[in-house]
Amino acid sequence: MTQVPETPRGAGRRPDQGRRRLAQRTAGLVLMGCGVQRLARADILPPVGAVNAALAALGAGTEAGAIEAPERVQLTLPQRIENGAVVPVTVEARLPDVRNVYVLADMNPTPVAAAFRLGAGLAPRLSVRVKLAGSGRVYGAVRTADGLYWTGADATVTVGGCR
Amino acid sequence: MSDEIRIRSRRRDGGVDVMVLMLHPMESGLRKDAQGRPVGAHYITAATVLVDDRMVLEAELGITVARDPLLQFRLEALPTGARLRVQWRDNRGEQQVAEADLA
Repeated sequence: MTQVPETPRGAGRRPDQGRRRLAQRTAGLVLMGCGVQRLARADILPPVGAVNAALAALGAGTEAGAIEAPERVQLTLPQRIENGAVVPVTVEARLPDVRNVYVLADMNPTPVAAAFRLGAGLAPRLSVRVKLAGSGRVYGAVRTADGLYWTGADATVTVGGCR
Repeated sequence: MSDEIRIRSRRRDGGVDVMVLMLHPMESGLRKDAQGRPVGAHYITAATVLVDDRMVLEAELGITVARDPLLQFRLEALPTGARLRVQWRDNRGEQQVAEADLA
């Protein structure tokens, strides 16, 4: 695991860096809180960029690849989450011919929480309840014939979801 | 055993809103019990929804889906009396199936 020099919280860092570090630390703490110190290591925490890699992989094979498109993909989740064990997430697309819907989270041991294939007659809006190991960023993505369109939202989790 | 899958549907604006609740522990395998023993992984890996034997939704789930997975979705323009079938299987090879008439 890459050692990150300790600096006071929020001091002189880009917000995104701070958030990632906080998310990583939180995920580790949450896992330890569940009595799995053995596992609270980099090998089960997603490496930084795991979500980006997952999005790129999901967009591979489409014409346009992975495109951030908050105007076409709407992601809904609670602003503040007290219990990370049950977090309702809704992904809705304003796009024709949606074939797949994905929910991803960058603080979890596996970045892709759920993947859906939509048959004919299903509206491009899906809700599922996921666990979030700590604070971080949640992503909703939809795949059409043209590309993978995604959007992200910050999740602030009080108690991580592994009980 | 079919009460392990609960299906609710409501007709609205020409479509049908559907909720499917699958009672399952969704153990990640990363947790320990009160005695400190590891709790084995036990989670639904795949769920399929069919309407009159036509696939409308396939879900790949994993260890970070919450206990008792709840899926909510909307079916457009369905005739009344369509039959919905939900089936899942988990990482231990267990399976469940349930059917319901849609609203």
